[in-house]
Amino acid sequence: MEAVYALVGAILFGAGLYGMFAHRHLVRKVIAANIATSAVFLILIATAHSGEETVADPVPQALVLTGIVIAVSVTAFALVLIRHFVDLTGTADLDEER
Amino acid sequence: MLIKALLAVGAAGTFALLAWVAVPLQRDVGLQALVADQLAHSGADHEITAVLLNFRSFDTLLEVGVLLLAVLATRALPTSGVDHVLPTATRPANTLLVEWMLPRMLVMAVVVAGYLVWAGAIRTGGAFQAGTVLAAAGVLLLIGRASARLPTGAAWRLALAVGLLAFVGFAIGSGLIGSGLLTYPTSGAELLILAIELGMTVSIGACFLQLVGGVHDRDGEGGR
Repeated sequence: MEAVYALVGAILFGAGLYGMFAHRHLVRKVIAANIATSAVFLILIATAHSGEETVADPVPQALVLTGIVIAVSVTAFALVLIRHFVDLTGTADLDEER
Repeated sequence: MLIKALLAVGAAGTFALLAWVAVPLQRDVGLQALVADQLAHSGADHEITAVLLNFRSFDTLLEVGVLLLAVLATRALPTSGVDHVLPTATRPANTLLVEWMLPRMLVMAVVVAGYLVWAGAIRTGGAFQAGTVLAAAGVLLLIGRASARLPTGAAWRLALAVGLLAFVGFAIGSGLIGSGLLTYPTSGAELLILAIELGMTVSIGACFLQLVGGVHDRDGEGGR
């Protein structure tokens, strides 16, 4: 049953990875990166609950807690960089024909 | 178009690989027995707190460091006319509801944050949750009060850094005593963990607030 979490995590990671490279808008890239990050957390949490054990493994949970803070830091820094990019170029889109 | 198709194939391949690896992982035995074994010596009664602050404290130390690094990086970027407020267009009118709710919500948030730190020793809770609640209260204040600004100055910078300072101080202290880097003494581990957690709560809250407020750093321009 818990395999659902790992599967959904794998799907989300694939989707996030695709979005990160396929989209040319910087904010879309950041959102896609966040989706991929969440997918990793989901997989980690899924591995924390192993079959017959009644107590979930606390180590992956603690790692996810740490990871969330890192993800927030990275996202905030990316947004500030995008803001700076917009100030310099007037657009957040990487497509040159615009 | 071809590139997007290739990317889609690559993403699907990544999914297949990940699913192939991650699904069987769950049948492996975790570390819960090992953690439960050592819990009595850790200075915390909750497994996740014990892992964060004791067994894997190096991870947590680096994490607070990364958080502070992100804050420093966002502050280091040049900004035109620095004024840390949200755009005026997004501000709500100061209705009676906002006026009445805001101070009470802030008091509530501080109480909840204090409880979460305290609860972290025995049940779900801890510095991260408490810091997030504090930061949320700060964001609420930034949005709800037209006059609210992100604080600056030495006291605020200390609040941003106190978590990392406490952790590094403990690391140096434990190294000097000779018990080993980031190894807690056999007695008094509870107090040390609580002190570090308190410092981290303040820092995580302040850093999150600085990060949220730092993204919106101009007054009145609105979104572009």
